[in-house]
Amino acid sequence: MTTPGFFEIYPDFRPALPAGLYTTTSHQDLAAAPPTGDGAIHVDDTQFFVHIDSPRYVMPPEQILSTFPPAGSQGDWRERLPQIVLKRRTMPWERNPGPTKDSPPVGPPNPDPDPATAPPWLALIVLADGEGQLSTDVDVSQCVTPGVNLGDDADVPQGKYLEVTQDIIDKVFPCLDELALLSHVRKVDLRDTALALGDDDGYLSVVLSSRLPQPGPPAQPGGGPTPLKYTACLINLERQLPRLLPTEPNPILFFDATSVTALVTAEFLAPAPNATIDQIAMNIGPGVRAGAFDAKSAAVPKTTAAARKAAKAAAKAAAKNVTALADAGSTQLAPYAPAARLETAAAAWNTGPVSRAALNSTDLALATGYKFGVNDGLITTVNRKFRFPVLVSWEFTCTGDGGFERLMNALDVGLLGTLDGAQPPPLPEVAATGHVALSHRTRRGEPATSWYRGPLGPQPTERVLPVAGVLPLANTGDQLRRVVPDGREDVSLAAMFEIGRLLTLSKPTLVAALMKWRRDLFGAARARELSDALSAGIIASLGVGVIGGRSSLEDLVRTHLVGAFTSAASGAFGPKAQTVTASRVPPEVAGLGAGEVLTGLGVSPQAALRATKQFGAEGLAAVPLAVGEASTKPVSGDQVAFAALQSQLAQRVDQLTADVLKTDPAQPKDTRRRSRRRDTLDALIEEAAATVARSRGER
Amino acid sequence: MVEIKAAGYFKAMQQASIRLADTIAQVPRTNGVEDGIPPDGVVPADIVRALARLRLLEGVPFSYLIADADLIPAETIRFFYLDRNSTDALIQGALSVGTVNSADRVQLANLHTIVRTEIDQAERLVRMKDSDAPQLDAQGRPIGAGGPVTGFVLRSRLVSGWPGMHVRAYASDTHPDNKTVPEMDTSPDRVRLLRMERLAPAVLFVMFDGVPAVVHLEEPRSGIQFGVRLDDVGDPTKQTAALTVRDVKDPNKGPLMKNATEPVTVPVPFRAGAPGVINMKRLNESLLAVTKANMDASVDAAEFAIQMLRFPLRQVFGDTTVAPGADSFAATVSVASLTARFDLAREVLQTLGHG
Repeated sequence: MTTPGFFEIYPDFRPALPAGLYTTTSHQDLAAAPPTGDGAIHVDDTQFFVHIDSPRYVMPPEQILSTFPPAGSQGDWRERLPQIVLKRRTMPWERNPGPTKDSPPVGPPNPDPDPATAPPWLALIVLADGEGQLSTDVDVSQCVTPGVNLGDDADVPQGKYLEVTQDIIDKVFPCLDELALLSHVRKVDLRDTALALGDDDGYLSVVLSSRLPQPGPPAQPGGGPTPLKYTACLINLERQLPRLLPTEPNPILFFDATSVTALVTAEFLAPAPNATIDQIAMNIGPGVRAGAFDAKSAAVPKTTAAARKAAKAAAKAAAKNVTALADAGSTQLAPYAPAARLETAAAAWNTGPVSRAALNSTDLALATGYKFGVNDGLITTVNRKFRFPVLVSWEFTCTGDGGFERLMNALDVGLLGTLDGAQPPPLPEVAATGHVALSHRTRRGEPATSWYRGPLGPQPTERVLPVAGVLPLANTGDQLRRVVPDGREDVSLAAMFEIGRLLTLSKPTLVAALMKWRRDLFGAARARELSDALSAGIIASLGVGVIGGRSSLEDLVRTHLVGAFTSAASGAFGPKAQTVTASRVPPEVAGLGAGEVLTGLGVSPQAALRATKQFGAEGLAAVPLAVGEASTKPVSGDQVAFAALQSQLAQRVDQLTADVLKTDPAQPKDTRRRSRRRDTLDALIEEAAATVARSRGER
Repeated sequence: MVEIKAAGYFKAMQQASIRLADTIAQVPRTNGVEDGIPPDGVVPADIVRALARLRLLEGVPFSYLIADADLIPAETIRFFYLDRNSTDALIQGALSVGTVNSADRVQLANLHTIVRTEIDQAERLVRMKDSDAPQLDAQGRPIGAGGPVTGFVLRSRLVSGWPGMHVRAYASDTHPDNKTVPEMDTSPDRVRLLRMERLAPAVLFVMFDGVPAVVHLEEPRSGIQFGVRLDDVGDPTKQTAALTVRDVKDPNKGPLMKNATEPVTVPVPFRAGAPGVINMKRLNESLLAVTKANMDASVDAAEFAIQMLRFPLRQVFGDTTVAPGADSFAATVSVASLTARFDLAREVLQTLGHG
């Protein structure tokens, strides 16, 4: 196991047998002691066939772990070598790339190199746009240079190929003796997700490119580098190793960063003119309006003598088909002149249609040729082309921004509100607090400047605190407008209020939630909060405090008590209340007379009688009353009395409850029970009860 | 009339309650919300969640954050403090949507303190991905209401060119700048990220849950990369490059050093006429010539790969005037024991003075 944070690198992992078709023959020699004959016993040979499969024309996507630079990305990759990481550790060595030298025309072909030392069959080629051509899907037999035969063993029926000229191979492709350096095997910690990305064994094979992608040359002299698009292709080198340089030419210790696009063939990049093949072939549409062709003025590209010759011949051929029109100065489409003016015409496509000295061709073959951007017949005489199967390719753009380190070091660091002196004026007016003066047209239509500071400021601020327990709440943005000492308005908070309001209004679900909250009067929640605080004590005394909180109590009441009550018979809890006909006097006071009441109040009944007889009801006020001295101690301090009262109250409540519940729940009288289906909660309750019972039993 | 069986009934009820209590204790809690915002607050959880996101300035137009583009010129990093009053105004604006009449407003004003506290707690829960916060309660939520919030706005090609940049912040400048840090650092003084978002392809907006002393910006660790180092040259037609040499027998020691500050380098040879194409063979030979690199005589892809390795770069933002590490003051005695010692000293002095 690799230590986390570490990885190991191996030069290669070679399979026991390279991929291919194998025939295994078993042969036995048996001999017997010869009473007659020579003693040999003939045994037929047995053959069986083994096919060791490996990707050849297409890399299965699941074998590709990662690429660098990432596909489709844009960045400064000037200092990094492109690479592709494959999951199978043996992948770059699974095929034998074949002999390194071309076989002689006569005699036996060169033997394949020893599989134990053969170079990898894969190479990662990074080409700028226009340095080569990547095909669309074609039959695999078309994927290699004509004349090269990879045999029938194809993993897919169709594949892509990369077509490049010999000078591109000489300049950009790795040399034969470099191939081994460009592939290695890496073992990473499987738990390191950034590296392993779900690989099964942690062994990964890596194919590097030897080319540092560079940004394009500056658009104007002295300008900055321009972004340049690259395509990285993982190619199959099988049977084409002799095309590579055997070893590197003499190196130089620098390169010319301004001549990055020197190898680009402009025709590859040229967009097709704005006409369809049909229009060009049929000589109709915009292609018809072309100028006269002046064969003499057509500059022949300065290539080889052979090319010049061929170009002249083609120009003559094309000139025959030219339709000369009077409107030579038209800005209409100038069709492609395949033979002459190769460079100027191609360059013109980048800027727009040329207006003069154009050619028109009715030759369909030529039209097809330029639709691909190049005329095969002409180019191949100059520079032979080679095709390599492309297993996978991806594109990225290299910019000249400067690497991560350079950009980081060049960053201007400061607090928000710091103005850079190098900034072009007008500089904004920024206060030390981070407020910015912005032009503001007031509601009265007067132009003014107001201060604004967003939520981001250069210094910590003091947060508004509640006043007397209440936090001020603004209900409109205008409540938050302020006037600062310099007489200008500070609309920061008002603007934030408004944008908060608008952002909320833009979310219908949030508006709905807020309105629902309002319908609950905001206070239902507050009541809940209060009840939580109050009920905490009650719940604790009930012995259900452990289950935590009001919601549990609600559940208790709802699912158990109410459920039990509703499923009980209607008469189970006691007799129905009688219709009240007359006031009922409690039996304890029924037998009391007025005299006893008066005595109880400490009044002599005789004195009261005398007074009422003499003065009427008002006379009662004059009856002397023995008043005991009141206790100065507060009632609540009298713990004994308090306890006694409490126990009495509790007894009485118990008694009353018991009276109300005069029933035997086990034997309901009413058979019309409301039945309830057992649900999950019931099951859970029983289970829990069993658990508790068990645990109690254990204890 | 049925006989009184109250005592039995109460007993059965008590047992039922205990059973119920046990059951409810087993039922999973209902707050199965990913972000951990409690569902039983005063404000409904949906509203809290939306307001907490608003509090982190999600969806607030850029011109409201940075009023003038001149405040963040190209290739700058600007640090800021979050103005809580500003975000509170934002929330008040949002709350005003839910009020219609003055009765609502009075009710809401009374609730405002609680609403603010609940959003304070929730705003730290929005980004739970970074859940290695130092202080957590039993449910794994950060404890307490959020304190000061800081952050930075980075406007640079770094943002567009290096998507997935790592941003880390620490409350104290005690980590060596070149210390190897795991992808999910769990140092106790790590300052959590509240928000990290690209507001535009080249503008990165980051908010920290606290005031960091050090901020690390690190190149994305997207796998292992190979390459060389281009020299800074005035003439782009003579671009040179160098490769720092490592000891392949002990590559973890860092680059070989020529002297105290300068590493051993070899110039990178290129193929003539092919910009950027490295002459690998010759480069390997010049590496072999460095004897301290301990490379075998044979050509070995693994050793070569070790030499070509390039590591992600880390930029550290911090107070450059304070030297980190040993030089900085670190309290080793707790204040309480110091106070006790001072009190004792005062007593002793007093006794001596009286004596």
